[in-house]
Amino acid sequence: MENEKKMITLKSSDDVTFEVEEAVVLESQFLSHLVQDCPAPEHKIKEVTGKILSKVVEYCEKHVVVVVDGGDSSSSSGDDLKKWDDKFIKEMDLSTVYDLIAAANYLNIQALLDLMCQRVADVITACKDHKEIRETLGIVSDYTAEEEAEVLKENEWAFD
Amino acid sequence: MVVEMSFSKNMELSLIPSLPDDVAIDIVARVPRSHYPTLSLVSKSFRNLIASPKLYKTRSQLGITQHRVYAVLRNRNTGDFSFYILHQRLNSYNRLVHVRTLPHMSSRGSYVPVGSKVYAFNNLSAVSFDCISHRAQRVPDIPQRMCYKEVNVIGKKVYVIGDAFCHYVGENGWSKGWQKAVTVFDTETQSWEPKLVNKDMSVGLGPFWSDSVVMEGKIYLKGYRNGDSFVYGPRERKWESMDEVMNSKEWEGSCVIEDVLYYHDRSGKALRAYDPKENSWSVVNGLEEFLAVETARSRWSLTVNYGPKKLALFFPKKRDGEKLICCAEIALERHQGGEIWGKVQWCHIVIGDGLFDMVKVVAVTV
Repeated sequence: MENEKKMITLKSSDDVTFEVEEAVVLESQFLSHLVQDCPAPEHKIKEVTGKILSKVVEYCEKHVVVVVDGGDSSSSSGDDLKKWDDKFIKEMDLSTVYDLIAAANYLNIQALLDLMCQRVADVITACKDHKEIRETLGIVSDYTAEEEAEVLKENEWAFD
Repeated sequence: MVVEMSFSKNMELSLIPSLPDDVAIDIVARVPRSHYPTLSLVSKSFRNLIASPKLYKTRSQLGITQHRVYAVLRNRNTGDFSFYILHQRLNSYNRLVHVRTLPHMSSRGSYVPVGSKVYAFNNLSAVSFDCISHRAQRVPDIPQRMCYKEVNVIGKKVYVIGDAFCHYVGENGWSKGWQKAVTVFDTETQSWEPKLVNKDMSVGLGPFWSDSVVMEGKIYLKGYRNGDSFVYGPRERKWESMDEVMNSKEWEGSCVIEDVLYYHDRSGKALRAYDPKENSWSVVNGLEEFLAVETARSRWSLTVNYGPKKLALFFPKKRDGEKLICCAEIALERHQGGEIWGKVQWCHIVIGDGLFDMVKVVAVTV
């Protein structure tokens, strides 16, 4: 009987451990290679903190594709997942989003990376002007006043 | 607590501090196109990104390209024909905004989209502009003077069909004079193809066509009279009469979305759809009330494709004796069984001072 699910332990940079099913780990291309190549019971992920790894695990557990007895694969329905994703990113601060982008990039979890990039894009979209975008993203403008006026003129059609 | 990110080394050059540039490009690609002028003002690296093809490639890879709609309007006071863009200013709604960097057009201009560019063909001269920089570039003149042009695009080639003054082999040997002809501009080589294609068409000279579209690689030319409707297959260089079913409706101001033709039938108060695969017309459901209320007395209407499953419908409206231009975005959905349903996403006046006549409308993908 194969009912016994294989469990894997992930350990964050600050030594927080998470016990997850193997299927959850397979959401990450990086981790699935790691698990295949090195069948140790515990894997240390030096690049990701406990706080962020817990978010990653939460996301992957929700998005994992459940293989049922018949061999059909099914996951939570699209609408449910979308709602869950919305809630997941709602009110998440930008520094957490950035950390999750770094983690998703490192662990190679494309769907999580996409979700986080969309979140930053939505934050930018919600800004009322370029000054608010600079402030929100911590960008220091390298335009001189003249240069900025020139760019403004170029794009004059788009503004009042 | 910030995680050390070993993969973003070039911090000083980055678009967004503490994010690698490839991620930043992915993010900017997801921001709606109408925000790009604002983004250009953020910093030099943002401005460079907005102008770079890489961003638009990322957008198309992510499948989030958008349609930008340009309208040519005639100013009744000055008589000028100018380009306007349907643009949503921040915290506002869609309006037709004058693009001052683009030149005036002639009264007989024809406009087609090729990729992210618009090609405009006047009497002889032609220009193109890309909808990122809004700067016009000259295109080689049309080799022969052509009148009553219908201009369509298949792939990267522009087909100009109309009356041309040319030399041709007639019944009594070589002759010259005005003839219906097809001439082709290749946008990749930026050149007119050497031969003007003359075809015997059982149609005389003059303005015979009210509209034309491309579906499934063929050009459909709708005649004012039914006998003047033709189909041109460029691959075989073949003229055919238009199928009776397609020809049975007086379609005008039409657009094509996923190889289905749509037009607003003002007298029938319906948005009609023609599917060449089934060779049949149908009515787009769900718009009865909207069309009856909003467009009942419209004297003209134009449609344009506005996304993968969306169209924009332009129509006039009178308020206090002033002629205004309205636009509605309509989302289209095909239900099981093939029925097409439409839903109005928004509808409002896009140009308010009653100074302008709508001439043409064209949509490009960016």
